[in-house]
Amino acid sequence: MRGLVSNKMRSLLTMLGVIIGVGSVITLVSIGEGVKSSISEQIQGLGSNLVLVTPGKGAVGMNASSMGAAVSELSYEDALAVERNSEAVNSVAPLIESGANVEYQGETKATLLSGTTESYGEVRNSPLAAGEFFTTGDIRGYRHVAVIGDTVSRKIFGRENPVGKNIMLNKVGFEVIGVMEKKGPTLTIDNDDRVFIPITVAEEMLDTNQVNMMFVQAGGPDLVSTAVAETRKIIGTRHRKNDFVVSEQEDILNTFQGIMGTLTGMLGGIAGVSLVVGGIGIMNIMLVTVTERTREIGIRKAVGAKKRDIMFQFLLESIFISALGGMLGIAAGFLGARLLDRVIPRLPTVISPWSIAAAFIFALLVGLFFGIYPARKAARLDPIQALRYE
Amino acid sequence: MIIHISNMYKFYGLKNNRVSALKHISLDIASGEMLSIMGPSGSGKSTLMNILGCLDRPTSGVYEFKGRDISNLNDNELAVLRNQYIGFVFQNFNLLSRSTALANVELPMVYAGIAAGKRHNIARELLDVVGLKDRMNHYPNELSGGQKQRVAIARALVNHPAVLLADEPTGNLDTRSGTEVIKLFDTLNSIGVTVVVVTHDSDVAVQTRRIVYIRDGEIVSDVSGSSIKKDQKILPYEIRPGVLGFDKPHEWNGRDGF
Ligand SMILES: Nc1ncnc2c1ncn2[C@@H]1O[C@H](COP(=O)(O)OP(=O)(O)O)[C@@H](O)[C@H]1O
Ligand SMILES: [Mg+2]
Repeated sequence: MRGLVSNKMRSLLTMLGVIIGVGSVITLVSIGEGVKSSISEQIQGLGSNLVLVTPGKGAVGMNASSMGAAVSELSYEDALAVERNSEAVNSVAPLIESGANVEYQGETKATLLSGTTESYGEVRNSPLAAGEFFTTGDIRGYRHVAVIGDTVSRKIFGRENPVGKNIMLNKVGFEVIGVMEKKGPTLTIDNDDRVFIPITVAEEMLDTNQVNMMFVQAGGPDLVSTAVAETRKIIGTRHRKNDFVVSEQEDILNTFQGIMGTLTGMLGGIAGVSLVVGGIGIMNIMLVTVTERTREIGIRKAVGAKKRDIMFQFLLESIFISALGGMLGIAAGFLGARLLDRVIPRLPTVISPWSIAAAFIFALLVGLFFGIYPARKAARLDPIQALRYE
Repeated sequence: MIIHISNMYKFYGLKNNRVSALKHISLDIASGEMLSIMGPSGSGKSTLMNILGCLDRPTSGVYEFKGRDISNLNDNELAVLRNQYIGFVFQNFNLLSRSTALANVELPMVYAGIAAGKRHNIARELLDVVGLKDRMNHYPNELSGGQKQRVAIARALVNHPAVLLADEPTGNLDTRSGTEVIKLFDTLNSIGVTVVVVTHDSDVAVQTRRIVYIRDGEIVSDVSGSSIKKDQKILPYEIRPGVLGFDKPHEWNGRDGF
């Protein structure tokens, strides 16, 4: 141990490999975990007891649109049918989405236009900050009313109260009747940069009857699986084929978390390779140390040190280097994550305890593994040859 | 006989470079003896001492230590032998430069598995005996040659060896320090420690009861005199069995595989 202390610079440089290795494992995993947790939050924040219906994934070679079928993909009618016919379903919010330009008194802005129904606010757990959401009457009456998101409100109206003002959406006039409460961003996506209009108006404006997705809200947590089954049955009967996907919020979350877990593991693994490189650095320096301290080893053997005593001494040193490097690496990992938070505030990192434990234990194992060869070399030295070493 | 050597050879190198460092060596040393080995430089004295100290192995021949043929012992058993039964004092001290005098003296006890507290006490006591009470926490480079050699002797004694081997222990010392070291050996011998000293100094040699001359790797003479002199007291107190807690008998007692 004294050898390590007396050679601070060299020990520090040797540790650097381990420090960088452990630090990058922790930092990279914190990025993965950060993405995972913020998207998980987003999925959970969609609303409660949700079932998501999306078009696609029909039988092989049977894509609905290519077949030119009368009822292709998902429609507003599908949503109404589910809402009407399923006992387990509380309400359904279909969504037709498209990019659009919003204009007010010369100010224009590109935004996301969503045609939906009065259920949206309830299903998606999205309350209003001001005004009101449109009603069934607005939808049936094809009324040109709009509810805008917080970002649109701030960009177009500034401090002005938007409620009651007239805006243009793709050159079509609308009256603003409400402003949504701020949701905050998910990673780089601004959830408040949106405008909602009645679904019937959207169908007309965008000349489509296909909805991009449907949020189905079950009557309670225990009704979710029934809601899934009934939704499948009702839409399946209407389409006569399986050209849509029904997924529980829980499934989406699990699938997504699974994918992110794999990705995060890969990131950690790649960073782990640098730890192995750090281990080679330890082995290198330990071999130098053993050579430099040949006489010391000879003296120890001359007074009765056994092979295992010498072996243990040098193994302890390499494990000590990797342990200290590991601890500094943990600090470096925290620092790296903090730095990333500064540089990319939209990408919040989450440091997971398992990554710290795994990186540290791996560092110890690396120190042990790469310390074995130099320690054995030291232990096998012949006492008299070691004593004669110049 | 504590040491029995017969027809022992030691070669260095291979084939063309082969050096016969020791040839046809036969030597018996009784327990409690004190003898000196003399001979010109390169005659094989260190080679013989290293083999006696179990630091090296002979090429051929028999070496029995306390009746046990050391060629049958493995590395671990030799380590125990060096640790428990043999004290070795080198011409160049061979102290650990990064350890204090105290830590150097403790070293053999570390490998003997003696607890730290007891180690400290024994090491302090022995450093006191060799007159280095006030130098315990000094590093070797802060000590004079004579002081370093006394640290080395204290280290050689901590595990209460049966045999003390010293290869030119006074070679790097001034006359006065050398005399003190030899007096120390003499005292140790008087309490039963077998002492073998390699020396160039015939004044030192005549103080021992037996002188072995080596030339070109062969023993050319082995004389025992009766020039027995009185013990001179140079130590703060006399080392007697038991005084340092050294009361173990010099017997093979089966510890650590023996
Ligand atoms: N490691 C070695 N390799 C080769 N020859 C050696 C080695 N050690 C000693 N010798 C040779 O063995 C002979 C005896 O050396 P040594 O025992 O050191 O003599 P002394 O101690 O009496 O001066 C010398 O000729 C020396 O050159
Ligand atoms: Mg010599």
